[in-house]
Amino acid sequence: MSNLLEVRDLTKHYTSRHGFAGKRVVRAVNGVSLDIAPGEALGLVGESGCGKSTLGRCIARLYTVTGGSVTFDGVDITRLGGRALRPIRAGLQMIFQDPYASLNPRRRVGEIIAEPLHVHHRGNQASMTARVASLLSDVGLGPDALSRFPHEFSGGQRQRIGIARALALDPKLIIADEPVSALDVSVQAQIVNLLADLQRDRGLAYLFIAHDLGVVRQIADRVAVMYLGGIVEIGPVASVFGNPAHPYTRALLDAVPVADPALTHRDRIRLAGDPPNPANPPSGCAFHPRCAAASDICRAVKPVRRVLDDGREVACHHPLAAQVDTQQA
Amino acid sequence: MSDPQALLSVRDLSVSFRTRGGVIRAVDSVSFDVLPQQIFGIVGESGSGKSLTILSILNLIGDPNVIIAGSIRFGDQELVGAPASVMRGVRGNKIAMIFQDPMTALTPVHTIGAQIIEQIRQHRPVSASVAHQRMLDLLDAVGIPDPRQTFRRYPHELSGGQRQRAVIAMALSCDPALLLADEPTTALDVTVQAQILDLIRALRVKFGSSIILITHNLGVVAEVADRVAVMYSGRIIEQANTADLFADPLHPYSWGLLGSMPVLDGPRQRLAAIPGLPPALDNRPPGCAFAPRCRFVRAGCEIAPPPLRAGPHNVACIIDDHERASLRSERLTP
Repeated sequence: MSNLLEVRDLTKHYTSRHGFAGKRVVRAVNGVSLDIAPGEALGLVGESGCGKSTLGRCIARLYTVTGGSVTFDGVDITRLGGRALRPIRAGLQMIFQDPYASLNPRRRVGEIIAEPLHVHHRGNQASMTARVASLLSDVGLGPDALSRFPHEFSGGQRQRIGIARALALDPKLIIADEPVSALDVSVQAQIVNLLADLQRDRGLAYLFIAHDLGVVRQIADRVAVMYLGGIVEIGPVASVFGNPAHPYTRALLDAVPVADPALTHRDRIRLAGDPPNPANPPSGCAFHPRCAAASDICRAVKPVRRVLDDGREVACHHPLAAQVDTQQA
Repeated sequence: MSDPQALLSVRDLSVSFRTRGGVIRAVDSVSFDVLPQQIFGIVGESGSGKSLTILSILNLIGDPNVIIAGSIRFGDQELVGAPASVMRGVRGNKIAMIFQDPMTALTPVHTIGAQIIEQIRQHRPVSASVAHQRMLDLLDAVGIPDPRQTFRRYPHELSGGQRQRAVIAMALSCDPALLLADEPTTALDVTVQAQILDLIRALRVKFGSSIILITHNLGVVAEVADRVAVMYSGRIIEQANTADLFADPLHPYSWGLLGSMPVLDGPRQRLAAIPGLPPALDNRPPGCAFAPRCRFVRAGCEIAPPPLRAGPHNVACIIDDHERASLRSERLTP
């Protein structure tokens, strides 16, 4: 197997008590399949509540999985328990959204970054100290950071600390859940550049979860678009963003405000309404109530993912015209 | 200097905090005019003073250790130092505000209909039935589906986008001449943000209000604003009509902000990030606040803050126009 990560039909259901009406099942992730090759960055985009963070946390096995399988580096980790997971986690690390909440406020930065090395018994005290210092410089922080506490750093610097901690064990895959969305624009650009450099220099693979399509385009080789627990389109960034096949992908791209007043009156698809509730999903294609192209089959039959000529996959009964043409050509 | 047509005229506005370490100036010599029916955008990062600027317009900073100086003229009314009785007649009536988070702007214990009616009857001597009808019209005008059912709902029963629409309906209830919107779409998803931006554009036509829109997102300003001010460390460093600012930005910080924004088309390029961080407000350099991060910094930058050049396109930078033209090509490369 050449893939670093293989996810097959992954589902994650939550059961919630709902008043006297009894139990209600929320299908947060509903039959997701994806692959990540070694050194590849897969972007995962979608609006709040679409299940992208839940998917990331299921893959990292921070959550138990309801169904399907997760294979990392040739090992099926779907049902592995705490101790058996530990060696896996050395190769699969996470970067979190909130750099204020993800660092222990009572630990010094040096201890925070060294903790994974202690847990995995990597080297002696001297080699760990050297390793922590080199990690700090890799993420653009000086050695004076070692003895300081997280609250002494700005948001961008804290995110650099979180990245250094994730890199400590030389992982093969990093799951980054909205790593730059809490940062200001100018700092966000610094962190995006850092993540791109690290991927290139270390051959890292990323599952890069974000709602900001521009940021994803900056980092990802391929991109998956999620809507209501399922992937609606997945493929190379250039084709999915340049020439979307799923109407939802197109609408998402069209909704992004562009910093060029000359382009604001371009022809765009505007979505009405809000994303539906995953506890009560629409019949057939989950997107049909908001889709301009919806027909009877969309209301009745859930579309399956199929491969188009350029290698991307789309789950839609009526993919956008440009794509159908290229398919026939 | 101020435009006689202006609805709101802010001159040399400063907002300072008295602290144990001395007086910290968070907003410094800010001046701008808002014309009738204009959408005026203020862009800046956290701590740039953009929110404090519009909070001081309504005198909403209720802290005795805050000093507001300068002048804010609204029509023929001076708002800086105006007595509380005058401000009560202005707030929510002639000038209304939309906040970032609609959940905290609404009370969870009343229906949205009741909250809008309360706002109407606070400022207008109308009967309950007239206010009720006005409330339904407002909900309809902001695009809430089925107002006759929805007005009975509580905020938690609505989606984020619908809540923000309800907040906008409330802000519009007394036909304000000026609407202040502080990051009105930041908490929303991108498809819902696009809907709310369409609504804000339509409001100007439908209600004839001027709007001051605060955002950190250059894309949002480009989409809706007529004129833009860019703030950095408490000062306006560039101000121009939107088309001019994006076609020909003059300040190196504006260049950096635009270079930091990932784009969705064209070849993928490394982002031209701005190194470093904005200065702490209590430790601002004596000269241009951006100088420590500026690639084009020179001797004069560190002496005194550069004055804002007069004219339709204001910029606070000492680089002269000839040199700027040659630097422009350089700024495009990271």
